Amino acid sequence: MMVAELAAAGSGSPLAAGAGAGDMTVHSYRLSTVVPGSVTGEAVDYELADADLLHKLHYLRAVHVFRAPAPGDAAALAVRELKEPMFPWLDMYFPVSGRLRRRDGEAAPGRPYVRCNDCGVRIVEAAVDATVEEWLEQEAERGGLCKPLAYDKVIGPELFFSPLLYVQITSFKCGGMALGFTWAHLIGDIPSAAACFSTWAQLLSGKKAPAPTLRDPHTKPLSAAPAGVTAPPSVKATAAPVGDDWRVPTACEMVPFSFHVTEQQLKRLLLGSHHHQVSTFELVAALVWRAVAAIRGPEEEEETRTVTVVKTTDPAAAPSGGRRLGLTNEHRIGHVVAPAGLPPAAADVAELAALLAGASLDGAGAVAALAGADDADAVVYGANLTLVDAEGLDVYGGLELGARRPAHVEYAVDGAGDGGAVVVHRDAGGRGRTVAAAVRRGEAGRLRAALRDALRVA
Amino acid sequence: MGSPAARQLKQLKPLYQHVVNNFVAVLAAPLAVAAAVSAARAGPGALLAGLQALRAAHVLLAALVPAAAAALYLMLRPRPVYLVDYACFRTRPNCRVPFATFLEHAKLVTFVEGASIDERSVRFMTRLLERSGLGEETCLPPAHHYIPPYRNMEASRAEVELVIFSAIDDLLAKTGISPGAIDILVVNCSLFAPVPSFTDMIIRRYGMREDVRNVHLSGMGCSAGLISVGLARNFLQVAPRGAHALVVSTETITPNYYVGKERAMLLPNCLFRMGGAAVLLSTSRARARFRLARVVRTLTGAGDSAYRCVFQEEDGEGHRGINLSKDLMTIAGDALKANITAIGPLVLPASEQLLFAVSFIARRVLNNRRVKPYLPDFRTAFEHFCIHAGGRAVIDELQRSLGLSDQDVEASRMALHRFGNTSSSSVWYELAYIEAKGRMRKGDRVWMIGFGSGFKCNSAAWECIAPARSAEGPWEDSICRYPVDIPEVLKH
Repeated sequence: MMVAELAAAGSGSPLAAGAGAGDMTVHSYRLSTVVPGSVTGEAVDYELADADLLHKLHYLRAVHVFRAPAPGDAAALAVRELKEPMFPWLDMYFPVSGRLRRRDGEAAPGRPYVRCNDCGVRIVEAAVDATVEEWLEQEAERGGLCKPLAYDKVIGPELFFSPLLYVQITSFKCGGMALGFTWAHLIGDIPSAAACFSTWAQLLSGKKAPAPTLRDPHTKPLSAAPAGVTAPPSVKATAAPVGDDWRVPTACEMVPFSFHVTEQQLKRLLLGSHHHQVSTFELVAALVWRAVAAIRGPEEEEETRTVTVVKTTDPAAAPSGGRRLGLTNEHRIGHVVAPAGLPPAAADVAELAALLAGASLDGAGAVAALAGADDADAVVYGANLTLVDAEGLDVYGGLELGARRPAHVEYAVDGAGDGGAVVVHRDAGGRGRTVAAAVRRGEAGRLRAALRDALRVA
Repeated sequence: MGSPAARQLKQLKPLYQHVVNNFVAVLAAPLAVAAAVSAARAGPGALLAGLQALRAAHVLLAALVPAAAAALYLMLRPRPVYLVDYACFRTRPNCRVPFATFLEHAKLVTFVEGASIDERSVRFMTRLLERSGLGEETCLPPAHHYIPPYRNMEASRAEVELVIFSAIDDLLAKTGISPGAIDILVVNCSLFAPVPSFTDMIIRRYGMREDVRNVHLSGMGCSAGLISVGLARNFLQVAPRGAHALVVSTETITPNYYVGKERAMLLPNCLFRMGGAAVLLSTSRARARFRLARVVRTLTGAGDSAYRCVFQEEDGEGHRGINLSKDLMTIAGDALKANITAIGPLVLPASEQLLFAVSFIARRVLNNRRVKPYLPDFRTAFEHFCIHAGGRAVIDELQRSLGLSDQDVEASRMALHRFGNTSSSSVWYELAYIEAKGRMRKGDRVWMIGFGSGFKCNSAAWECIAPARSAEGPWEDSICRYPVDIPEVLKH
């Protein structure tokens, strides 16, 4: 599943050939590096907060697919032109081009931090022998096709040489292109990543992008870890220490899953729950929860009672208290336990949604403090079935390249634990929803069928 | 010798220099006085009688012979050659290679089929780079930012075009000359010689005349820039008056990445960086900025160790690279001595030459090994030094051999830090540094020293006619940060 950095030259990630035309295998990988345009400085360190380290085993996969330019429009962008704005972009986001090291010394030995040595981000060029239209068709039919469009690599086994960001540029036969970002969650949460990619797109389009405010390299973030407090159920430790190979060890293979909920289907769901105060996220998430619980069956009934809820945007955030840091893990994490009388597999969607709406959430920093030791190998996404609310993010508008808007965008979490992780965000029109998940092998087909059924009836 | 005696000698030195350097005046002054005194004693009458006794033929001869000699001398002497202006390739941030990236790429290339570079090699390269004197802004061509790097002809040509076309564009803009006015084109690039050659690429791109005299020098090493200048100078002697010669010096990095693990052959990977320079020479003094005083070339390749010192070959596994021998410093020192011996008499003032000759004779005649050979002070002959930035060790060795101060070699060290070893064009980057710092004045003399495979040591001596008018150039963005203190071992 995780391919060695260069052994993939020539071989792609094969997918079961569907009934549609066009082979979706991605091939002809070519790696290069882009560095910040100017020197960051000598021995500049970027400290990682406890909240950052809590998410070190997780990655964000953000894929944007662009159609080929219509005849008469400006020509498609060459790789060189896509790379050009990355140099000033990385000047602004210099920690992203650094590399991980571990502290030595008496204070917190072994704690990872980022040395901002301008090592750079990895650019991957690849190709696929299908047109964008064929791809969109296949994606609508079977889903899960976004995964090969982002480079599948984790941090490790050598921290010293592991990039924190990969950008994959896949060329389609028709002249269309896919941009896939593989972002290490430790460097920033989903909104940080989205803002970062958007800054690049703005630079590419010739607009002036505001420089992000970054954590002051000289202050060490406080880690107030009260000893002896038990970890919340939303965070679990890995079975064995992972050392320097930062991926979540899972009992079963996790596969990508994606699903589209149309505007009409959403409206019907909302109508059915008008007497509860729930939003579209809770409804969609509840649907998925119910379906997964049903698939996992009575053997896992105890586990599927508990779900983790992650909210990426905070409507109640203080508007005056300074801008959000450019790179930070400040999302909110909470958990919900279905009461004994409400088994998730058979419950009413609206009631499950109400449960989710009532979840009590804590900031990632607080959760990290509760989770204890600052370098414990923790699993957040996938400790239980994790439902991530990314509805507040403008994932389509953020990545407009000049006049070109992506035809399809998917944000998903990679490196999730056995519980699975589900991200819900807006679709191309802004009114439907895209559900992107990592689920266990064997669950994807049944999940798709269950959701289709549920949305037909609801 | 006791120090009070040495101090007294030091104080006498300037007086000694004035006397010896103005020897003719010193000698002629008393003679003139004596002649005037005796003429005065003889009286005007005796003088007139003497003049009338002169025969017409003698007078004619006395006038014609020197005139003829002067005319012959003026006709046969070499035409002076001037440098109109020069432009160096300006590196871009998108070609930048920080230390960490270079190492990471070297490490990742170990996964590539056919490459045998291994962990030990990467550790060796790390140690080399830490002590190399290179900074974090040196540049490699775009093809080398790939893992594994592209080394094919297309990528090599792309690098060549990027470097030399932008340098020539800058030069044409600075001098205002049109490509059609260029009569001579000399290009040097050691390690890449495609067909058609670089000169054909330039002629095609700029639409030069059909009768441009053009030569591409390949395989001549890092000192080839000065060889090209010498060759252009020779061409200009037989070209029509006021002809223009374009000299382009560069080194193409793309095809030469070494993927083996032979230590002696890994050094060029670490040190060589992208760079190039374009220089316009002419026999017309209009708008010239420097005058070319001397070009002196010495070659020590007759000896085996000098010949094999920098040797391109395949290693045991068939990977091609450049093998640098361990005696590089010694051989460089010997080549330098040979060059100094050749250029010394041409540029040093009489006072230094006399001292050198006396010390030379003393050592031979007295057979006294304890008498140290006199090291001529080249700072009496030159104000600025541009020593090829071959590497930190080369610069240190030359500083020691020539008895130069840190400020004298600052241009070389800073060019090495900012641009790396750009081979034959490094002397031009150093000249650009000195001018960007505003240290060049009218009348200043510059000594360019190049070293290269062969083993060659070539020198060129220039005299400044007009310093640079603007701060434009490769150092534009970074000069305010220089000079920097280069640590012994780079922290990373």
